[in-house]
Amino acid sequence: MKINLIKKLFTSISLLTLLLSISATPVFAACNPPCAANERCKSFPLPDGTTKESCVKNVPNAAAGFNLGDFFKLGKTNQNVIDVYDTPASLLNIVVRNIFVIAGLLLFGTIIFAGFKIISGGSKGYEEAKNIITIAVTGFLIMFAAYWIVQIVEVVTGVPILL
Amino acid sequence: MSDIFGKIEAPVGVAQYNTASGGDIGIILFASRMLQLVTVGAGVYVLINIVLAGISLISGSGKSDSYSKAINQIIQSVIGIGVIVASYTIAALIGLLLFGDPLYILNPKICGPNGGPGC
Repeated sequence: MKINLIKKLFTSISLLTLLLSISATPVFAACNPPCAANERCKSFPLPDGTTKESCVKNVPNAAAGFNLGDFFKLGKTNQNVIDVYDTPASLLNIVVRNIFVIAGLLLFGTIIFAGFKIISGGSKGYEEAKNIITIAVTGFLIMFAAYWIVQIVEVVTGVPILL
Repeated sequence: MSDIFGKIEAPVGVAQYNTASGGDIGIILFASRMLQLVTVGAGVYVLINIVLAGISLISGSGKSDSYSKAINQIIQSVIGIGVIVASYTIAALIGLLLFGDPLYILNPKICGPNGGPGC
């Protein structure tokens, strides 16, 4: 059992080494005229067997590493994703900004619904409507105060929360 | 850490309260605005109550029970608004007596290990 495992390990390691050694080392073609700084020379195979060298823009420099955000475009605009959404927080900021609009509309609708309940439900409907409005307004106040609550937690505990 | 995740901005109203209170946590300013609103609402309610009591005084045509009822209503309204107005003074008094600082309750400070707003 153990011997089998060692055999497998040995085989895989030697196979990996072999594959690495035979894989083509990247040879960059030489273009004429030479490419600009932000361009890279690349050779393209032609149908008749020969190759053609030409400069390509925006090819990542593998040695220097590259930023994925530079290569994703926003929609059909020419704007890079990295320029608009540089951190997860910038996406969350948009959510926070818009969730208050949605919550305000929901609060408005809930209050109208409660008023309708008072009109249609008599004294029982009045009780229900009171509960509904209390819960809705409390919820909205908690939403509004959420940022402050986290800020207070930050101050009280001393933990740097990302606000 | 914040380089990776970034900074979450305060929602619009929250940010306005924060800047209005001098860059601190604006919840205390918000609470005092709510108190002002409640005080104004109570004042309007007292006004309406006194007007209603006056109407019942006029229309009661001298019956003793409706007269005393209306007088009671007025007295209670005035006592209520008096308590509301005096509540600041009472809070300041309690703060002075128990904590040695009249603003201890009225102007609360939030303190943590690294200080805090007004700390």
